[in-house]
Amino acid sequence: MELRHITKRYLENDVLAVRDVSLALHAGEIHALIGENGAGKSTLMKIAAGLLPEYDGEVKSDAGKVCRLVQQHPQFIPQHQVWENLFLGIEPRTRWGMIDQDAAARRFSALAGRYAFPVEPRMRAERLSAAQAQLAAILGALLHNPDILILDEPTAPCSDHETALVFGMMRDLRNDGRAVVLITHKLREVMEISDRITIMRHGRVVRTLLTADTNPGELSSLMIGEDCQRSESDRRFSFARRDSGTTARTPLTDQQDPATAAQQTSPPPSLRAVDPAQPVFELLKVSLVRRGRMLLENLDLRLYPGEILGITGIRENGLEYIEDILSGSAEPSSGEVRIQGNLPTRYTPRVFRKLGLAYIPTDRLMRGASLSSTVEDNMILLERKRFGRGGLLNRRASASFSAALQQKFGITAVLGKPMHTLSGGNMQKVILSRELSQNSPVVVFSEPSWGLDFRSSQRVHDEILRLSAEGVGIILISSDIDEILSLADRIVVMYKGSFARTLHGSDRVRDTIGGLMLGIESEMSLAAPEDHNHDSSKEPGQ
Amino acid sequence: MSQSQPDSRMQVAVATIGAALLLTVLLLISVSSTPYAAVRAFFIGPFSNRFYLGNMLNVFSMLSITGLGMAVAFRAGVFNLGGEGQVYVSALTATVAGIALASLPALLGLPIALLVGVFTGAVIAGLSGLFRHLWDTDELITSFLIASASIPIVDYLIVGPLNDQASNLLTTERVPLAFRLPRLLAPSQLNPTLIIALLLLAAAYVALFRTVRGYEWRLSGLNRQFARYGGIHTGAYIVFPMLVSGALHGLAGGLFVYGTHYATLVGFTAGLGWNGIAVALIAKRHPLGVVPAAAAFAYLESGARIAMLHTDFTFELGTIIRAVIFLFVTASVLPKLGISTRVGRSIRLLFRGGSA
Amino acid sequence: MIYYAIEVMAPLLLAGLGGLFAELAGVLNIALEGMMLAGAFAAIVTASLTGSILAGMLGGLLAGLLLAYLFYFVGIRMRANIFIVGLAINLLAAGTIPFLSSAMFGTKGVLRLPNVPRMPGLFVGVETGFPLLDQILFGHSFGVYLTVPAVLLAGFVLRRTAFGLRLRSTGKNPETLRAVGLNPDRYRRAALLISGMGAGLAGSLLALRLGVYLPNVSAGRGWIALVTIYLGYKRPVGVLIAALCFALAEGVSVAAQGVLQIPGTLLLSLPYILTVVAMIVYSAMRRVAPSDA
Repeated sequence: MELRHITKRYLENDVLAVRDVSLALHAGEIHALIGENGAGKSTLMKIAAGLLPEYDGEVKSDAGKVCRLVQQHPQFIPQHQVWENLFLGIEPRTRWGMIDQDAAARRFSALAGRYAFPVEPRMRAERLSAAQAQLAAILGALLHNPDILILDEPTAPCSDHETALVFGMMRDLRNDGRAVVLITHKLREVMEISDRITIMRHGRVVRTLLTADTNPGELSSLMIGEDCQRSESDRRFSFARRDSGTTARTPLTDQQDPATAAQQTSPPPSLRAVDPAQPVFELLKVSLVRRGRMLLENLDLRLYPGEILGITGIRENGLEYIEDILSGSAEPSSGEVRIQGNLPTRYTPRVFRKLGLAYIPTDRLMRGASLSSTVEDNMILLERKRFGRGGLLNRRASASFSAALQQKFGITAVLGKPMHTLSGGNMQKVILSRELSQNSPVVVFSEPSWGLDFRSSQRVHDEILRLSAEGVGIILISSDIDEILSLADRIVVMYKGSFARTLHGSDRVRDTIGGLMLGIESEMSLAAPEDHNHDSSKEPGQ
Repeated sequence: MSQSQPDSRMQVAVATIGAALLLTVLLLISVSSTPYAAVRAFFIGPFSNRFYLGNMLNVFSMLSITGLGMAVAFRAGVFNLGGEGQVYVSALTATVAGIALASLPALLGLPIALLVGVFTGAVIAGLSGLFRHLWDTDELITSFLIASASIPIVDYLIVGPLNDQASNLLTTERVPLAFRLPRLLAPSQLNPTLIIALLLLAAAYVALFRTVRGYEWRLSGLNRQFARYGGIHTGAYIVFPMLVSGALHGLAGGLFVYGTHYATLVGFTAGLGWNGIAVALIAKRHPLGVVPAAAAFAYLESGARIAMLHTDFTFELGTIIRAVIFLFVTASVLPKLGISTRVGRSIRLLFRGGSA
Repeated sequence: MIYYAIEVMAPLLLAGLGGLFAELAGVLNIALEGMMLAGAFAAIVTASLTGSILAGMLGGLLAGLLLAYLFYFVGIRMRANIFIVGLAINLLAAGTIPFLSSAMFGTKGVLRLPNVPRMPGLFVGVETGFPLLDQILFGHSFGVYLTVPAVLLAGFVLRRTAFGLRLRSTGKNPETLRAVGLNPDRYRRAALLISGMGAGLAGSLLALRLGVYLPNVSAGRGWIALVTIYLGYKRPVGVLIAALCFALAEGVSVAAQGVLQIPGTLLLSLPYILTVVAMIVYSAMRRVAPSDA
């Protein structure tokens, strides 16, 4: 397939997303398409897959060639079963237009089995984890037997294990003489899997080069452009500094005597005065049961001021539920939550916030923002009471408040425009600015850099480090091991709804975490905590 | 749809309304034996004298209040499908209260009677909100059902126990003379309801767009999950908007009695509640948008009534014309203004995701 | 009473099943009432012209279809507001029928036309020895026996066919159809036309059973049909049960009218009250199980 001089302008917001791009895709290659958010990668590939009808230029491909795009956030109908979603439009049929469910199940199982994708066809789509949904969406595209398969950030919700499965599938297609396009931010993956790389910036192709001829440093400077202040090596350096700093600084572990913790009487919820020895956030034997399923089991956790506690795991192992528990969105079936020593009167986000919690949710579009409200209205959510003068909303005060936040966080947006006009990075900055304006002693971050480009996630990470230095207790839920490793002082790995193990200091090794996430190491490491590296060679993708 | 220039939007709006009017004229000419008189009566009638003008303005006031009652509920993302019944029941309770309090001075008795109406409407609609809050029962269906259940009861009461024996109409006794609102443009039905309606619209605009509560109210309607996440008590913004919506319908019922009819007649609401929904939707759920929407409705309805009085134009023809104009206006103007798609989606969302 | 309830249920069920298709395709058809009314009027007129019950039913069906197509054209093709379109179609039916009636037959009231055949009953006089069973099963007018196959057919089409899957997918998320190159509007149109046929047929049953057209013969049944869809949790069998409940409530109220001397108007509200109570009980019971809201 060949794309020639493609230009696309979005009429709604008058954005020139792709400018005069030409690109050739060869059969039997894995082609990586990289670039920052808004570089035009997804738009270009939507055009290639025929999903955007209006554009200038030419898409040339041989007749009968099938091109399928797996979008970044697969759209499934949650109430329908997986197979119903995937076979929509290509239902195998018997007489009378009846669907041949057996044939569908056979085709599905054959395909899922071939790549060892753990997806159950009869499951309702809403019960899929984000990673499973991604794998299912890939299977859906494969059912169309594509000659060209385009994957937009397929590994974003995936653990290393699932990433390896996806890569295995991609190699298989390549060996079968098909073309695979991988859109991604992750340079490590690009280097590992791709044959050729195209870098895009501001809607243009910067360069296309062979993977064998390049290195991550060159790629990141090409992606970000000459004006960038931080290169990949700078980033490593700053993390290294961070690492040495924390090991020296944090003597706190949760090996403390639980009895002393239990005896602590509830201090008043003062947002400023922090005692470094008092936990600011605790989970005590928290379990969550829904419809008879044990989703979280007997979780204990203690967070101290200034500490960054990382929680990681593969998505269906309870990360989404612990997010709900930590933020007050769900009530534990048993056990209790204490914020600055106080028991919440009710388990609602409202009460949690009053007790001193700020929360950056995974689901930014639905939970973190009101897309049709203005940016300003999104910013003032938590401060709304402050702008009330006898019930009336003081718009002048709220506007200057928002403008100050905008400047402080460097948000590129028009405050009076609806939230949905913002890019992903700016949207996350709006959410951050709002949550951090509260000076809360506890901040829960859930997948704070999902879908963000390098610079935006760097910005988020800087913010997390700054807060920690100010003595704020931080819980960082993330399925990105690199993010967790570079930021967290202490790492809790979740496996099947329990905390498999807590890792400190030198224990915080990539392979160990990977193994714990898969449940490979949990028993073994408890028995012999020193010896945790020997079977992590099973871990694929390293 | 695309956000085109204001100019072209206006052109589309004008063209649509023009086409709708042309069609109306054609319809009138083709069916009427006195086509010229019918067209004239329909279009110019409402402005031809004080009586018709005043009556039209009175219809406008009533529709403004019911339309506003719907708009405030929509803004909070709740749906009150029982407006028709709420107006009717409240009219009756306000009538009964007024008759019972006839010995009080008007300055005391009239407000109490109206408040009884307001309270009745609020309770009827509020129940649906409460059910939704407590048991997740779709407020759209329960409000419709409760209102539908109450209409026959009111009918029965008017015909039976509360019937005015002196009159051979299907009506209650008339309310005390002193309680009746003065006529502004005699002999028409226009009365201070117009002023009340305009004040309410302005107040609702300020409350929704210029207060903290209004901010919470609108946010709950736009994204309930986000509102809850931000610490807004979203449960309250299900019950409270239904209460307010019902209260406005109740007020409409009371004012309809004390300003226009001085009694409750069987079936006298004649679509006030239903048309309120259409007014609110055409008004883009905006209090200030209610003014042109209600005005357009009042004009059409008055035109039809006058044409009916003066020519062989039948009431049904008026209904047909209203339907056709409905279709025209909603089909071509609203999408261009980006209204219908959004409201349509939110309605569908409401239906599907009521429990989510 | 049971016999009467079954008779009442049939039109309600047909309209409800039709509306179910529209609802599942994501189009709220609030014009069921108007479509039923149009179906009733058209059925009497065609039955009178042809002298045939079947032709009458066909006429009713076509009238519903016509309004449904108008609904589709304005509401879906022209992207107008579904709710307003629905209200407009109800208005259109309410205005056009008396207009046509007076233009064609000189009356806006009860329309008693010559040559309208009686709706034949089936299995009249068949007895099993169990009076209750007999009341449920036998001697009903012809249209009632359409309903059971209709429920089965609706279930089959929605659950088992590719068409049904696509229709349901349209209602849940039309983007998924577009993503595989299907046009959601086609399924919305099909769903609306089916709902029009259901409502039109339901109207024809109402009128043909009486043999005359009464103004407002549907008496809110179109709205109740809409409610049965939700009460039945958007499943054909659920609609059947909900329609039966409404019909029984109406049967009870008619029976009570005779026995208790309660005024008829008052009893008109009984079906609605019973429905609200049923809904609340149902929701409250669902709430007892821990919810994840």
